Amino acid sequence: MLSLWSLYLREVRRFLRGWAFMAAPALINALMYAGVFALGGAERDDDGQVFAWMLAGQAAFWCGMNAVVGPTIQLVIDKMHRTIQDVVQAPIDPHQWLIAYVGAGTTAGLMSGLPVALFAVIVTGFPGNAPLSALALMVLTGLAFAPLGLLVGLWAEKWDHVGGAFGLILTPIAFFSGLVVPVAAMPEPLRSLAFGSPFAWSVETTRAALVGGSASLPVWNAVLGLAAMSLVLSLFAWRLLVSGYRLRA
Amino acid sequence: MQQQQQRDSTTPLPREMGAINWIGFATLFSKEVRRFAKVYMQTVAAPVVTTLLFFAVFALALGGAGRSVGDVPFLEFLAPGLIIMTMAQNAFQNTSSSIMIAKNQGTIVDVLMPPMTSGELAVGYVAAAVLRGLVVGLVTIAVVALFVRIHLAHPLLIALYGLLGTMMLGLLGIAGAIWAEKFDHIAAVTNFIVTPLTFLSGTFYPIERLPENWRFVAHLNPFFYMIDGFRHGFIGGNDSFIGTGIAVLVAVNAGLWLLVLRMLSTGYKLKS
Repeated sequence: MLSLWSLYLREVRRFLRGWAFMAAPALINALMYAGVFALGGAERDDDGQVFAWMLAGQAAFWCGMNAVVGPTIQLVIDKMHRTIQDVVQAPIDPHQWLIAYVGAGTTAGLMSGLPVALFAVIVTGFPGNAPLSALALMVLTGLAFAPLGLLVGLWAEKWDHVGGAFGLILTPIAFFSGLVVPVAAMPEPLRSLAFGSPFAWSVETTRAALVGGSASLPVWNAVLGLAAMSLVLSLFAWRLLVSGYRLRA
Repeated sequence: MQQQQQRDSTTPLPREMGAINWIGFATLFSKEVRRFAKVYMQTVAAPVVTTLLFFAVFALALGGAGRSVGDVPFLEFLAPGLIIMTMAQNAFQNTSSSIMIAKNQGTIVDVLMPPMTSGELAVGYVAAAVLRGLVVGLVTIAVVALFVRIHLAHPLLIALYGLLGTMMLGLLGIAGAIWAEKFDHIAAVTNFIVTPLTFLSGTFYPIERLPENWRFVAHLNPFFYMIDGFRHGFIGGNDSFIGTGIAVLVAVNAGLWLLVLRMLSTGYKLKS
Protein backbone atom coordinates (compact mmCIF):
# COMPACT_ATOMS: atom_id res chain seq x y z
CA MET A 1 0.00 0.00 0.00
CA LEU A 2 2.81 2.35 0.92
CA SER A 3 4.60 1.66 -2.35
CA LEU A 4 1.44 2.15 -4.34
CA TRP A 5 0.78 5.47 -2.62
CA SER A 6 4.40 6.66 -3.08
CA LEU A 7 4.34 5.85 -6.76
CA TYR A 8 1.00 7.61 -7.18
CA LEU A 9 2.24 10.71 -5.36
CA ARG A 10 5.48 10.72 -7.33
CA GLU A 11 3.60 10.75 -10.60
CA VAL A 12 1.07 13.37 -9.50
CA ARG A 13 3.85 15.64 -8.20
CA ARG A 14 5.65 15.33 -11.51
CA PHE A 15 2.49 16.37 -13.28
CA LEU A 16 2.07 19.37 -10.98
CA ARG A 17 5.68 20.43 -11.52
CA GLY A 18 5.04 20.26 -15.25
CA TRP A 19 1.81 22.31 -15.09
CA ALA A 20 3.19 24.65 -17.74
CA PHE A 21 3.08 21.71 -20.15
CA MET A 22 -0.29 20.22 -19.37
CA ALA A 23 -2.78 21.97 -17.10
CA ALA A 24 -2.10 25.52 -18.32
CA PRO A 25 -2.14 24.72 -22.07
CA ALA A 26 -5.39 22.80 -21.59
CA LEU A 27 -7.17 25.80 -20.13
CA ILE A 28 -5.63 28.36 -22.47
CA ASN A 29 -6.24 26.32 -25.60
CA ALA A 30 -9.80 25.56 -24.56
CA LEU A 31 -10.55 29.24 -23.95
CA MET A 32 -8.95 30.23 -27.24
CA TYR A 33 -10.79 27.64 -29.33
CA ALA A 34 -14.07 28.47 -27.65
CA GLY A 35 -13.53 32.19 -28.14
CA VAL A 36 -12.57 31.81 -31.77
CA PHE A 37 -15.62 29.70 -32.49
CA ALA A 38 -17.92 32.03 -30.65
CA LEU A 39 -16.59 34.86 -32.83
CA GLY A 40 -16.42 32.85 -36.03
CA GLY A 41 -19.89 31.38 -35.57
CA ALA A 42 -21.53 34.52 -34.25
CA GLU A 43 -23.98 34.63 -37.14
CA ARG A 44 -25.82 31.47 -36.30
CA ASP A 45 -26.04 31.46 -32.54
CA ASP A 46 -25.77 33.36 -29.36
CA ASP A 47 -22.08 33.97 -28.58
CA GLY A 48 -22.27 32.90 -24.94
CA GLN A 49 -23.99 29.65 -25.87
CA VAL A 50 -21.37 28.67 -28.44
CA PHE A 51 -18.59 29.65 -26.05
CA ALA A 52 -19.92 27.50 -23.19
CA TRP A 53 -20.79 24.62 -25.52
CA MET A 54 -17.24 24.57 -26.92
CA LEU A 55 -15.67 24.85 -23.47
CA ALA A 56 -17.74 22.00 -22.08
CA GLY A 57 -16.64 19.68 -24.89
CA GLN A 58 -13.03 20.76 -24.43
CA ALA A 59 -13.26 19.93 -20.71
CA ALA A 60 -13.99 16.29 -21.51
CA PHE A 61 -11.44 16.22 -24.34
CA TRP A 62 -8.56 17.55 -22.21
CA CYS A 63 -9.52 15.26 -19.37
CA GLY A 64 -9.13 12.26 -21.66
CA MET A 65 -6.15 13.61 -23.56
CA ASN A 66 -4.03 14.49 -20.55
CA ALA A 67 -4.96 11.23 -18.85
CA VAL A 68 -3.08 9.67 -21.78
CA VAL A 69 -0.32 12.28 -22.00
CA GLY A 70 0.59 12.09 -18.28
CA PRO A 71 1.55 8.41 -17.98
CA THR A 72 3.03 8.35 -21.49
CA ILE A 73 5.42 11.24 -20.98
CA GLN A 74 6.46 10.12 -17.53
CA LEU A 75 7.14 6.55 -18.61
CA VAL A 76 9.11 7.63 -21.66
CA ILE A 77 11.18 10.10 -19.63
CA ASP A 78 11.83 7.37 -17.06
CA LYS A 79 12.87 4.93 -19.75
CA MET A 80 15.15 7.44 -21.47
CA HIS A 81 16.84 8.58 -18.25
CA ARG A 82 16.96 4.99 -16.97
CA THR A 83 15.13 6.14 -13.81
CA ILE A 84 12.60 3.45 -14.68
CA GLN A 85 14.98 1.19 -12.71
CA ASP A 86 13.83 2.91 -9.52
CA VAL A 87 10.32 1.70 -10.21
CA VAL A 88 11.13 -1.68 -11.71
CA GLN A 89 13.32 -2.66 -8.77
CA ALA A 90 11.00 -1.42 -6.05
CA PRO A 91 8.90 -4.12 -4.38
CA ILE A 92 5.72 -3.25 -6.26
CA ASP A 93 3.35 -5.78 -7.76
CA PRO A 94 2.21 -5.21 -11.33
CA HIS A 95 -1.36 -4.55 -10.18
CA GLN A 96 -0.20 -1.87 -7.74
CA TRP A 97 1.86 -0.34 -10.49
CA LEU A 98 -1.16 -0.35 -12.75
CA ILE A 99 -3.38 1.26 -10.11
CA ALA A 100 -0.82 3.96 -9.29
CA TYR A 101 -0.31 4.95 -12.93
CA VAL A 102 -3.98 4.81 -13.85
CA GLY A 103 -4.78 6.82 -10.71
CA ALA A 104 -2.12 9.39 -11.50
CA GLY A 105 -3.22 9.62 -15.13
CA THR A 106 -6.83 10.13 -14.09
CA THR A 107 -5.75 12.81 -11.61
CA ALA A 108 -3.78 14.55 -14.36
CA GLY A 109 -6.81 14.41 -16.64
CA LEU A 110 -9.10 15.84 -13.98
CA MET A 111 -6.67 18.60 -13.05
CA SER A 112 -6.61 19.65 -16.72
CA GLY A 113 -10.31 19.17 -17.47
CA LEU A 114 -12.01 20.46 -14.31
CA PRO A 115 -10.81 24.09 -14.59
CA VAL A 116 -12.13 24.13 -18.17
CA ALA A 117 -15.44 22.64 -16.99
CA LEU A 118 -15.63 25.28 -14.27
CA PHE A 119 -15.31 28.05 -16.85
CA ALA A 120 -18.03 26.43 -18.95
CA VAL A 121 -20.57 26.30 -16.13
CA ILE A 122 -19.70 29.81 -14.97
CA VAL A 123 -20.67 31.05 -18.45
CA THR A 124 -24.00 29.19 -18.51
CA GLY A 125 -24.86 29.61 -14.86
CA PHE A 126 -23.33 27.85 -11.89
CA PRO A 127 -23.46 24.92 -11.12
CA GLY A 128 -24.45 23.74 -14.58
CA ASN A 129 -27.00 21.21 -15.73
CA ALA A 130 -26.00 18.07 -13.85
CA PRO A 131 -22.65 18.78 -12.19
CA LEU A 132 -22.36 15.47 -10.36
CA SER A 133 -23.01 13.43 -13.50
CA ALA A 134 -20.48 15.57 -15.32
CA LEU A 135 -17.90 14.95 -12.61
CA ALA A 136 -18.62 11.20 -12.66
CA LEU A 137 -18.32 11.12 -16.44
CA MET A 138 -15.00 12.96 -16.31
CA VAL A 139 -13.62 10.57 -13.69
CA LEU A 140 -14.71 7.69 -15.88
CA THR A 141 -13.09 9.37 -18.89
CA GLY A 142 -9.82 9.60 -16.97
CA LEU A 143 -10.04 5.96 -15.92
CA ALA A 144 -10.72 4.89 -19.50
CA PHE A 145 -7.90 6.89 -21.09
CA ALA A 146 -5.15 6.59 -18.45
CA PRO A 147 -4.46 2.88 -19.19
CA LEU A 148 -4.06 3.89 -22.84
CA GLY A 149 -1.36 6.31 -21.69
CA LEU A 150 0.33 3.48 -19.85
CA LEU A 151 0.24 1.32 -22.99
CA VAL A 152 1.63 4.07 -25.23
CA GLY A 153 4.31 4.83 -22.63
CA LEU A 154 5.36 1.20 -22.40
CA TRP A 155 5.43 0.79 -26.16
CA ALA A 156 7.18 4.08 -27.10
CA GLU A 157 10.95 4.07 -27.13
CA LYS A 158 11.59 7.49 -28.60
CA TRP A 159 9.88 10.85 -28.68
CA ASP A 160 9.16 10.21 -32.37
CA HIS A 161 6.89 7.35 -31.31
CA VAL A 162 5.08 9.57 -28.83
CA GLY A 163 4.70 12.32 -31.41
CA GLY A 164 3.36 9.84 -33.95
CA ALA A 165 0.85 8.31 -31.54
CA PHE A 166 -0.54 11.70 -30.56
CA GLY A 167 -0.13 13.72 -33.73
CA LEU A 168 -1.19 11.11 -36.25
CA ILE A 169 -3.68 9.00 -34.30
CA LEU A 170 -5.16 10.51 -31.14
CA THR A 171 -5.50 14.16 -32.18
CA PRO A 172 -7.13 13.40 -35.54
CA ILE A 173 -9.61 11.02 -33.86
CA ALA A 174 -10.38 13.61 -31.21
CA PHE A 175 -10.91 16.37 -33.77
CA PHE A 176 -13.77 14.43 -35.33
CA SER A 177 -15.39 13.37 -32.08
CA GLY A 178 -17.98 16.03 -31.58
CA LEU A 179 -15.48 18.51 -30.22
CA VAL A 180 -16.27 21.21 -32.75
CA VAL A 181 -19.16 19.80 -34.75
CA PRO A 182 -21.81 17.77 -32.87
CA VAL A 183 -21.65 14.15 -33.96
CA ALA A 184 -25.33 14.30 -34.93
CA ALA A 185 -24.58 17.10 -37.41
CA MET A 186 -21.67 15.35 -39.13
CA PRO A 187 -21.98 14.05 -42.67
CA GLU A 188 -21.83 10.31 -43.25
CA PRO A 189 -19.58 8.31 -43.08
CA LEU A 190 -17.85 10.49 -40.48
CA ARG A 191 -20.91 10.28 -38.25
CA SER A 192 -20.92 6.50 -38.02
CA LEU A 193 -17.17 6.49 -37.47
CA ALA A 194 -17.48 9.07 -34.69
CA PHE A 195 -19.80 6.74 -32.76
CA GLY A 196 -16.84 4.40 -32.46
CA SER A 197 -14.63 7.04 -30.87
CA PRO A 198 -14.33 7.00 -27.07
CA PHE A 199 -13.63 10.73 -27.24
CA ALA A 200 -17.10 11.18 -28.73
CA TRP A 201 -18.76 9.12 -25.96
CA SER A 202 -17.10 11.29 -23.38
CA VAL A 203 -17.36 14.68 -25.07
CA GLU A 204 -21.03 14.42 -26.04
CA THR A 205 -22.33 13.19 -22.69
CA THR A 206 -20.10 15.32 -20.47
CA ARG A 207 -21.07 18.40 -22.44
CA ALA A 208 -24.78 17.67 -22.05
CA ALA A 209 -24.26 17.17 -18.32
CA LEU A 210 -22.35 20.43 -17.99
CA VAL A 211 -24.29 22.90 -20.10
CA GLY A 212 -27.42 21.01 -21.17
CA GLY A 213 -28.54 20.24 -24.67
CA SER A 214 -28.77 16.79 -26.14
CA ALA A 215 -26.06 14.21 -26.60
CA SER A 216 -26.02 12.09 -29.71
CA LEU A 217 -25.92 8.89 -27.69
CA PRO A 218 -27.60 7.76 -24.44
CA VAL A 219 -25.50 8.45 -21.38
CA TRP A 220 -25.54 4.80 -20.30
CA ASN A 221 -24.06 3.71 -23.61
CA ALA A 222 -21.20 6.12 -23.00
CA VAL A 223 -20.76 4.89 -19.43
CA LEU A 224 -20.71 1.27 -20.52
CA GLY A 225 -18.36 1.99 -23.40
CA LEU A 226 -15.88 3.93 -21.26
CA ALA A 227 -16.02 1.34 -18.47
CA ALA A 228 -15.38 -1.47 -20.93
CA MET A 229 -12.48 0.47 -22.45
CA SER A 230 -11.02 1.03 -19.00
CA LEU A 231 -11.25 -2.64 -18.05
CA VAL A 232 -9.94 -4.06 -21.31
CA LEU A 233 -7.00 -1.65 -21.60
CA SER A 234 -6.13 -2.04 -17.91
CA LEU A 235 -6.11 -5.79 -18.26
CA PHE A 236 -3.88 -5.54 -21.31
CA ALA A 237 -1.54 -3.11 -19.56
CA TRP A 238 -1.41 -5.40 -16.53
CA ARG A 239 -0.42 -8.33 -18.77
CA LEU A 240 2.40 -6.23 -20.23
CA LEU A 241 3.59 -5.16 -16.80
CA VAL A 242 3.62 -8.79 -15.61
CA SER A 243 5.61 -9.85 -18.67
CA GLY A 244 8.03 -6.93 -18.30
CA TYR A 245 7.45 -5.82 -21.89
CA ARG A 246 10.13 -3.26 -22.87
CA LEU A 247 11.00 -2.81 -19.20
CA ARG A 248 13.07 -5.86 -18.34
CA ALA A 249 15.64 -7.32 -20.64
CA MET B 1 68.38 30.02 -38.56
CA GLN B 2 67.14 27.08 -40.54
CA GLN B 3 65.61 25.57 -37.41
CA GLN B 4 63.86 28.84 -36.77
CA GLN B 5 62.37 28.84 -40.24
CA GLN B 6 61.24 25.25 -39.94
CA ARG B 7 59.35 26.00 -36.76
CA ASP B 8 57.67 28.94 -38.40
CA SER B 9 56.35 26.87 -41.25
CA THR B 10 54.74 24.34 -38.91
CA THR B 11 53.36 26.81 -36.36
CA PRO B 12 49.64 27.17 -36.95
CA LEU B 13 48.72 30.68 -37.97
CA PRO B 14 45.39 32.31 -37.26
CA ARG B 15 43.01 31.77 -40.12
CA GLU B 16 42.27 34.82 -42.25
CA MET B 17 38.55 35.29 -42.06
CA GLY B 18 37.75 38.69 -43.45
CA ALA B 19 34.89 40.76 -42.16
CA ILE B 20 32.41 37.89 -42.02
CA ASN B 21 33.09 34.32 -40.97
CA TRP B 22 31.28 32.72 -43.89
CA ILE B 23 32.41 29.21 -43.04
CA GLY B 24 31.11 29.51 -39.50
CA PHE B 25 27.84 30.97 -40.65
CA ALA B 26 27.31 28.33 -43.33
CA THR B 27 28.13 25.55 -40.86
CA LEU B 28 25.66 26.79 -38.26
CA PHE B 29 23.01 27.28 -40.93
CA SER B 30 23.45 23.80 -42.35
CA LYS B 31 23.48 22.28 -38.85
CA GLU B 32 20.17 23.99 -38.10
CA VAL B 33 18.65 22.93 -41.39
CA ARG B 34 19.77 19.33 -41.01
CA ARG B 35 18.38 19.29 -37.48
CA PHE B 36 14.84 19.75 -38.74
CA ALA B 37 15.25 18.01 -42.11
CA LYS B 38 16.33 14.80 -40.41
CA VAL B 39 13.04 14.49 -38.52
CA TYR B 40 10.85 15.75 -41.35
CA MET B 41 7.92 13.65 -40.17
CA GLN B 42 7.73 15.77 -37.02
CA THR B 43 8.83 19.08 -38.46
CA VAL B 44 7.16 19.16 -41.85
CA ALA B 45 4.60 16.36 -42.22
CA ALA B 46 3.00 16.69 -38.77
CA PRO B 47 2.33 20.46 -39.00
CA VAL B 48 0.87 20.01 -42.47
CA VAL B 49 -1.46 17.27 -41.21
CA THR B 50 -2.51 19.41 -38.24
CA THR B 51 -3.26 22.37 -40.49
CA LEU B 52 -5.38 20.18 -42.75
CA LEU B 53 -7.29 18.89 -39.74
CA PHE B 54 -7.96 22.42 -38.59
CA PHE B 55 -9.09 23.24 -42.06
CA ALA B 56 -11.39 20.22 -42.29
CA VAL B 57 -12.95 20.86 -38.91
CA PHE B 58 -13.53 24.53 -39.62
CA ALA B 59 -14.99 23.63 -42.99
CA LEU B 60 -17.44 21.27 -41.27
CA ALA B 61 -18.29 23.68 -38.50
CA LEU B 62 -18.32 27.05 -40.18
CA GLY B 63 -17.84 26.59 -43.88
CA GLY B 64 -21.28 25.39 -44.89
CA ALA B 65 -24.26 27.26 -46.27
CA GLY B 66 -22.30 29.70 -48.39
CA ARG B 67 -20.78 31.55 -45.48
CA SER B 68 -18.44 34.23 -46.60
CA VAL B 69 -16.36 37.09 -45.33
CA GLY B 70 -17.15 40.10 -47.50
CA ASP B 71 -17.42 38.49 -50.91
CA VAL B 72 -14.77 35.85 -50.22
CA PRO B 73 -15.95 32.31 -49.29
CA PHE B 74 -15.04 31.56 -45.69
CA LEU B 75 -12.67 28.72 -46.54
CA GLU B 76 -10.70 30.88 -48.97
CA PHE B 77 -10.51 33.49 -46.23
CA LEU B 78 -9.37 30.92 -43.67
CA ALA B 79 -6.69 29.13 -45.71
CA PRO B 80 -4.01 31.87 -45.84
CA GLY B 81 -4.43 32.58 -42.12
CA LEU B 82 -3.92 28.95 -41.21
CA ILE B 83 -0.92 28.69 -43.52
CA ILE B 84 0.97 31.68 -42.08
CA MET B 85 0.05 30.57 -38.57
CA THR B 86 1.65 27.19 -39.18
CA MET B 87 4.70 28.80 -40.79
CA ALA B 88 5.19 31.15 -37.87
CA GLN B 89 4.78 28.45 -35.25
CA ASN B 90 7.33 26.28 -36.99
CA ALA B 91 9.84 29.09 -37.23
CA PHE B 92 9.44 29.66 -33.49
CA GLN B 93 9.78 25.94 -32.79
CA ASN B 94 12.97 25.69 -34.82
CA THR B 95 15.04 28.28 -32.97
CA SER B 96 13.53 27.79 -29.53
CA SER B 97 13.85 24.02 -29.43
CA SER B 98 17.35 24.05 -30.87
CA ILE B 99 18.73 26.53 -28.35
CA MET B 100 16.75 25.08 -25.47
CA ILE B 101 18.02 21.55 -26.10
CA ALA B 102 21.58 22.82 -26.61
CA LYS B 103 21.46 24.73 -23.32
CA ASN B 104 19.98 21.77 -21.53
CA GLN B 105 22.54 19.28 -22.79
CA GLY B 106 25.44 21.69 -22.55
CA THR B 107 26.19 21.51 -26.27
CA ILE B 108 25.55 25.25 -26.54
CA VAL B 109 29.30 25.70 -25.92
CA ASP B 110 29.92 24.24 -29.36
CA VAL B 111 28.03 27.18 -30.78
CA LEU B 112 29.48 29.83 -28.45
CA MET B 113 33.16 28.81 -28.69
CA PRO B 114 33.83 29.15 -32.42
CA PRO B 115 35.02 32.57 -33.60
CA MET B 116 31.62 33.83 -34.64
CA THR B 117 30.09 37.21 -33.95
CA SER B 118 26.63 37.58 -32.44
CA GLY B 119 25.39 38.72 -35.83
CA GLU B 120 26.61 35.58 -37.56
CA LEU B 121 25.05 33.41 -34.88
CA ALA B 122 21.72 35.18 -35.00
CA VAL B 123 21.52 35.21 -38.79
CA GLY B 124 22.45 31.51 -38.93
CA TYR B 125 19.66 30.55 -36.54
CA VAL B 126 17.07 32.85 -38.05
CA ALA B 127 17.81 31.86 -41.66
CA ALA B 128 17.21 28.19 -40.83
CA ALA B 129 13.98 29.06 -39.00
CA VAL B 130 12.76 31.10 -41.96
CA LEU B 131 13.61 28.23 -44.30
CA ARG B 132 11.64 25.75 -42.18
CA GLY B 133 8.70 28.15 -42.13
CA LEU B 134 8.83 28.54 -45.90
CA VAL B 135 9.12 24.80 -46.54
CA VAL B 136 6.17 24.07 -44.26
CA GLY B 137 4.27 26.93 -45.89
CA LEU B 138 4.87 25.75 -49.45
CA VAL B 139 3.88 22.17 -48.68
CA THR B 140 0.74 23.36 -46.87
CA ILE B 141 -0.24 25.65 -49.72
CA ALA B 142 0.20 22.79 -52.18
CA VAL B 143 -1.97 20.45 -50.11
CA VAL B 144 -4.64 23.01 -49.24
CA ALA B 145 -4.87 23.92 -52.94
CA LEU B 146 -6.33 20.47 -53.52
CA PHE B 147 -9.38 21.42 -51.48
CA VAL B 148 -9.94 25.11 -52.02
CA ARG B 149 -9.22 27.60 -54.74
CA ILE B 150 -6.02 29.46 -53.95
CA HIS B 151 -5.69 32.88 -55.55
CA LEU B 152 -2.36 34.60 -55.76
CA ALA B 153 -3.40 38.23 -55.94
CA HIS B 154 -0.04 39.72 -54.92
CA PRO B 155 2.73 37.08 -54.86
CA LEU B 156 5.35 39.61 -53.77
CA LEU B 157 3.34 40.55 -50.71
CA ILE B 158 2.95 36.87 -49.85
CA ALA B 159 6.71 36.45 -50.00
CA LEU B 160 7.40 39.63 -48.04
CA TYR B 161 4.91 38.87 -45.28
CA GLY B 162 5.97 35.24 -45.14
CA LEU B 163 9.56 36.38 -44.67
CA LEU B 164 8.79 39.06 -42.06
CA GLY B 165 6.44 36.77 -40.14
CA THR B 166 8.74 33.75 -39.93
CA MET B 167 11.69 36.03 -39.12
CA MET B 168 9.76 37.63 -36.26
CA LEU B 169 8.87 34.28 -34.73
CA GLY B 170 12.35 32.87 -35.31
CA LEU B 171 13.83 35.82 -33.42
CA LEU B 172 11.23 35.49 -30.67
CA GLY B 173 12.22 31.83 -30.38
CA ILE B 174 15.89 32.78 -29.89
CA ALA B 175 15.08 35.42 -27.29
CA GLY B 176 12.66 33.11 -25.47
CA ALA B 177 15.05 30.18 -25.41
CA ILE B 178 18.00 32.28 -24.21
CA TRP B 179 15.85 33.65 -21.40
CA ALA B 180 14.32 30.28 -20.46
CA GLU B 181 16.19 28.17 -17.95
CA LYS B 182 13.93 25.14 -18.15
CA PHE B 183 11.59 23.63 -20.71
CA ASP B 184 8.73 24.88 -18.54
CA HIS B 185 9.76 28.46 -19.20
CA ILE B 186 9.72 28.06 -22.95
CA ALA B 187 6.37 26.24 -22.66
CA ALA B 188 5.13 29.29 -20.78
CA VAL B 189 6.30 31.59 -23.60
CA THR B 190 4.40 29.38 -26.05
CA ASN B 191 1.24 29.18 -23.95
CA PHE B 192 1.03 32.69 -22.61
CA ILE B 193 2.43 34.69 -25.53
CA VAL B 194 2.50 32.82 -28.83
CA THR B 195 -0.80 30.90 -28.60
CA PRO B 196 -2.99 33.82 -27.42
CA LEU B 197 -1.46 36.25 -29.91
CA THR B 198 -2.08 33.71 -32.67
CA PHE B 199 -5.68 33.05 -31.79
CA LEU B 200 -6.49 36.71 -31.23
CA SER B 201 -5.04 37.71 -34.57
CA GLY B 202 -7.93 37.26 -36.97
CA THR B 203 -6.76 33.91 -38.35
CA PHE B 204 -10.18 32.39 -37.90
CA TYR B 205 -12.51 35.34 -38.13
CA PRO B 206 -12.49 38.84 -39.56
CA ILE B 207 -11.49 41.36 -36.95
CA GLU B 208 -14.79 43.25 -37.49
CA ARG B 209 -16.48 40.48 -35.54
CA LEU B 210 -14.82 41.69 -32.38
CA PRO B 211 -16.90 44.06 -30.27
CA GLU B 212 -16.23 47.67 -31.28
CA ASN B 213 -14.31 48.50 -28.08
CA TRP B 214 -12.03 45.51 -28.48
CA ARG B 215 -10.91 46.00 -32.05
CA PHE B 216 -8.08 48.28 -31.02
CA VAL B 217 -6.59 45.35 -29.07
CA ALA B 218 -6.24 43.39 -32.31
CA HIS B 219 -4.52 46.37 -33.88
CA LEU B 220 -1.89 46.28 -31.13
CA ASN B 221 -1.05 42.69 -32.03
CA PRO B 222 1.80 42.31 -34.54
CA PHE B 223 0.45 38.85 -35.44
CA PHE B 224 -2.69 40.56 -36.71
CA TYR B 225 -0.70 42.52 -39.30
CA MET B 226 1.26 39.42 -40.27
CA ILE B 227 -1.93 37.49 -41.04
CA ASP B 228 -3.76 40.47 -42.52
CA GLY B 229 -1.02 41.19 -45.05
CA PHE B 230 -0.30 37.57 -45.89
CA ARG B 231 -4.01 36.98 -46.51
CA HIS B 232 -4.23 40.14 -48.61
CA GLY B 233 -1.47 38.70 -50.79
CA PHE B 234 -3.77 35.76 -51.56
CA ILE B 235 -7.28 37.14 -51.74
CA GLY B 236 -6.63 40.80 -52.52
CA GLY B 237 -9.34 43.25 -51.60
CA ASN B 238 -8.96 46.71 -50.20
CA ASP B 239 -9.74 46.46 -46.50
CA SER B 240 -6.24 45.54 -45.37
CA PHE B 241 -3.57 47.57 -43.60
CA ILE B 242 -0.62 46.91 -45.88
CA GLY B 243 1.42 50.05 -45.26
CA THR B 244 0.89 50.02 -41.49
CA GLY B 245 1.43 46.27 -41.46
CA ILE B 246 4.82 46.41 -43.15
CA ALA B 247 5.89 49.28 -40.90
CA VAL B 248 4.81 47.43 -37.74
CA LEU B 249 6.46 44.17 -38.76
CA VAL B 250 9.70 45.85 -39.79
CA ALA B 251 9.77 47.76 -36.51
CA VAL B 252 9.04 44.65 -34.40
CA ASN B 253 11.67 42.69 -36.31
CA ALA B 254 14.21 45.49 -35.81
CA GLY B 255 13.46 45.57 -32.09
CA LEU B 256 13.84 41.80 -31.82
CA TRP B 257 17.12 41.85 -33.79
CA LEU B 258 18.50 44.42 -31.34
CA LEU B 259 17.33 42.38 -28.38
CA VAL B 260 18.75 39.11 -29.71
CA LEU B 261 22.08 40.69 -30.73
CA ARG B 262 22.37 42.28 -27.32
CA MET B 263 21.58 38.99 -25.57
CA LEU B 264 24.17 37.16 -27.66
CA SER B 265 26.91 39.77 -27.34
CA THR B 266 26.51 40.23 -23.59
CA GLY B 267 26.16 36.48 -23.13
CA TYR B 268 22.94 36.92 -21.15
CA LYS B 269 22.18 33.56 -19.47
CA LEU B 270 24.63 31.95 -21.89
CA LYS B 271 28.08 32.81 -20.62
CA SER B 272 29.12 33.21 -16.99
